[in-house]
Parts: sequence; structure tokens; C-alpha cells
Amino acid sequence: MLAPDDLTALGLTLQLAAATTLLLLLVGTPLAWYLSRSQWRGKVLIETLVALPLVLPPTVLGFYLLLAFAPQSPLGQLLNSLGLAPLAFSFGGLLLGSAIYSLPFVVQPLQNAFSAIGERPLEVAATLGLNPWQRFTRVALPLAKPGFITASTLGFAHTLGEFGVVLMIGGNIPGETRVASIAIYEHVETLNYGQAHSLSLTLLLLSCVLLALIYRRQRVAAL
Amino acid sequence: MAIQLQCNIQRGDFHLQLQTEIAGRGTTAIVGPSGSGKTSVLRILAGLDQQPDCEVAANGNVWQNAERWLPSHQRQIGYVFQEANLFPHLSVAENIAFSKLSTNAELEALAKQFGIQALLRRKPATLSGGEKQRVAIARALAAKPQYLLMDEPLNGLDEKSKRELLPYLQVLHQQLEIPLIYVSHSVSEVAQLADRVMVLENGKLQAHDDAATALTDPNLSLAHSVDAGALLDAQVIAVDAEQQLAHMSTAAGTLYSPVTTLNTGQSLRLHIAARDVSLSLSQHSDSSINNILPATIASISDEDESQLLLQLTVGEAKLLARITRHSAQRLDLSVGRSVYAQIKAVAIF
Repeated sequence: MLAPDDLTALGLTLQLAAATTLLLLLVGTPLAWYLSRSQWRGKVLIETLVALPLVLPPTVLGFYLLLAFAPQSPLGQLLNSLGLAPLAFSFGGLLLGSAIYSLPFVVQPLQNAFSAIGERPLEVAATLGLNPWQRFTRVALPLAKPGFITASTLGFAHTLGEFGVVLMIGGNIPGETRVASIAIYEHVETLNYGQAHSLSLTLLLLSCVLLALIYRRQRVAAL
Repeated sequence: MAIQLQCNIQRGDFHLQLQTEIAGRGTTAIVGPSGSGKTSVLRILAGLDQQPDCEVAANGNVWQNAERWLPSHQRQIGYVFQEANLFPHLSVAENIAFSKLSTNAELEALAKQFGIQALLRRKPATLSGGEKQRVAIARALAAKPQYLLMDEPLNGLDEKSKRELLPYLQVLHQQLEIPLIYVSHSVSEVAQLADRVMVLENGKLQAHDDAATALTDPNLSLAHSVDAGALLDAQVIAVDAEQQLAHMSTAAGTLYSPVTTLNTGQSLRLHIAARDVSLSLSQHSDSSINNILPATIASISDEDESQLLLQLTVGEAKLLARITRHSAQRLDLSVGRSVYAQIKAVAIF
């Protein structure tokens, strides 16, 4: 069975994945909506930045985040002047790093879902007297529901599997930044294969169950 | 309630130059070939296309001009698109109630008017094309628009669905208290539904006239279509029960039609197709045709290599007749000549 340390790591991982997904849905929804509707030519720049974590080695991202999180950096000084703790080696830092790292996995499915709706249903809603906000909440959001399910799943699952960024900016503080993937790595490093097995298998099963549940729901929704 | 519209758009291949006033009552049909700008006019009226080179005012209120822009959702226009565009995630009842502007009693009345009471719990995906379009019209009316715009609502439907939907549109045309602006390329729909017709070609307004005049004007494309014909307002003056014949008074004279469902005093609209009118020089009494009216040839125009289109003055009305060049030569027909128009069939709407 799982050791108490590993249970803590697992709990922290789930917490981080849930918080990241929530944060990304909050930030990603308006961003994806803007990208799906905007005619601005320069939006390709934003799309590039959003997609960047897909191709960038996580360590590169982690390295620059580490620099940004340093107390002497502009961000660090800003946080300091606001009386906030520095982000490096903290849960808040992990959350921010994970959010940037998983951004495309949430924004892209949402953007595709919003684009797939097309202009017509929104035009219909406009002629029925709905203002832009009502059109977004009563037409765009419900019609993009499959996209939200995909985006949440991918965002959550991708954060579960995160390793490189965490290693760079989080370190290995139990209960604070020591997530499951780091714990497994450490067990292997210390030749503690039994514990590595238990934790790996748990993550494997968890991911399988999660994906299966969501695929089933999507099939039900499609019927 | 009238709408003033003025456009001067010149952008690449897209031209739209017109200035007109759309009547605040009855049905105005916008007709023309595809690419003539019909749908563009409708979308501009609805505020769906932001065209800064257009000015629209309804009943004195500016909807758009150089300084002002009233968005679609504030124009109080109902819009029925070619495809029904029902919200797929909502039931029929939820679709109709979508605007939240009608009471339950009003929604029920609309469901009844469009024969969709039995469909209320169903999802749009399970409906036929005609059913979807009926729901779409009911949904538009449930938002209590001041104007109803329709963009070829019969276009995507098969013949059976069209026949099923048309009676609802005819009732709508008769009962609707708000102006209906109806885009179509079908002469038969225009003949059945329109009070006035705007004819567009290449983004220019060719004519804007009452339907009976526009349909029989040989200078417009409507008179040259397969279904071309004249419109007559008629009143039933007597019904001969023995002969099963209705006597109807029209501007062209008294017409007879073998219809028994009509009642004396009833007003109706007749369509007399150009292909159903033939000509003779004398009033045959040995003809099987019931309706023979004295007429004068008002104009003769080319139809194709073998046929001519004749516009006839019959009483106070205009009729169209499509005859062969050969017959015209044989009878020595020319403008101003007195003839007899023999009407084979009278279609009643």
C-alpha cells in the first residue's frame, strides 16, 4: 500500500491538478472566445504564445519561470512590495507554472469548440433580442460543452503528469511542492522500487478511470 | 412602421445601390436571381452585417447611419433563416420560449397556430425540415418582433415539406399584424404571399411595386419565369351548386372556377398562369373553356426562340399569355389588337 508520504504527494497532485484546471477554465474561456471571434491579424501572435508549451521542453519553461520567480526579478520585487511570499518553491508558484504549461491543452479545445459553433446560432439569438453576454452564456457556453469536457480532462490529466516544470520551480518539499511524479522519481533514484510501483500504478489507474468516465459521458451527451 | 433604406456599397465584386421605402404593412417580397443582393438587404435591415455605407430608419427611428448603430438585438426584428437553425441542445418548447418575451399562454397559442403542440418535448434533430421551419417561425414570433424577416424559408425543403409549410405562411400573411419582408426567388411563392415586390438585380433595384403590377411587367424577369402569371383579387358573387361552379368578380371581369368549398361573399386571390392563357380572334361558343374575356394586346416581348410573351389588358387588369411565335403569326397579332383571352385554369390561393 501507499506510504503516508506518498499519500500526501498524491493528494497534493490532485489538488494542484484541480486548482490548475479551474484557473485555466477561468482564464482560458475568455481567451479562447476572443481567439475564436477576433478578426485581428495579430492574433496569430497570441495563438503562438498559447501553443508554445506544446513544443518547448518543460525544463526551458521551468528555467525561465525560476528566473522570473526569483526575489530580485521584477515579479519578485512586485510580490515583495505587496507583502506576498516569493513564488519559487511554493504551491502558488507550482500553480502558476502548471497553468502556463497546460494552457494550450485547455485553450485549444475551447477555441475549436467556440469556432465550431459558427456565427449563425449567435445571429439567431441576436434577432431574438439577446445581448452579447446573454448570447455567450445561453448559446455559446452550452453549445461548447463537449469542448469544456475535453479541455478540463486534458488540463487535469496533463497537470497530473507534469514533471519538468515542477522539478525546476518547485523542488521537493513534502506537502508543499512534492507531487506524485517527483515522489516516483525520488523513489527510483533511491532504488525504492516497491514504493515507486505503488504510486505509479495508482497514477496509472487514476488516469484510466478519469479518461474512461469522461469518454462515457461524452458518448452519452452525443446520444 | 415603414422602413427607409438607402445603400451605396461598392466593395470589390459586391455592389448594392438602392434607395427605397419598405411598406409598414403587409408582405413585401424581395426577389431576384442569386447574387442580386436579396439576402444582403435582409441582413442589413436586421443589423447582422455592419455596412457603414447604408442608412436604415424604421418609422422615423434611425437604426443606422454614419453616426449611429443600433445592434440587432435592439431592432425588434424576427428573422427566419433558410435553415431553421434551431438550438440543438434545447427541446422544441425551449426553442420557442428562448427569447423569454412571451407568456405561457402566448407560447401555447403559437404552438397551436403552427401545429407543433405534439412536438414540444422533442429535440430538433428528430424533426422534419418543414417541422423545424415551423418551430423557427414560432420562435421568431415569440420574441414579439415589430418586423418579421424571412430569407427563403422554403428553399432547403423538399416538395412535400414545401406543400406542408406553405399554408402556414399563407395564414401568416393574412393574419400577421406586423410587416413581413420575404426574400424569395420563386414566382409562385411571391404570387401566393406578397402584397408588394422589390425586384433586385446586380445590387440595383429594378422595381418596387405592388405584386400584381410587378408580376405582369414584361420588363421584369418575373414575367418570364416558368410560373409567370397574373394576380387577381376576386370576390365570390355566387356559387352554382348544380354546376359546382363559383362565380367570381375580378378586375378582369367575371371568372368561373369549379370550386365548391367557396362561399358567396368570400374574398380570395387568384393566379392565372401565362401558360394557361390562350388567344382567339373571335368569341368561340364551341370552346370547352369557361372563361373567355375580351382583351387588348398591351405589349409583345420575346420569350425564347419559339415563344412570345403577351401582356393583355383585360378590363382593368393585366394578364400574361405565353403563345408560340407561329400562332402569333397565324393570327397576325400586334400591339393594340383586340382579342379574346381564353383561360384554361384558375389557381386559387
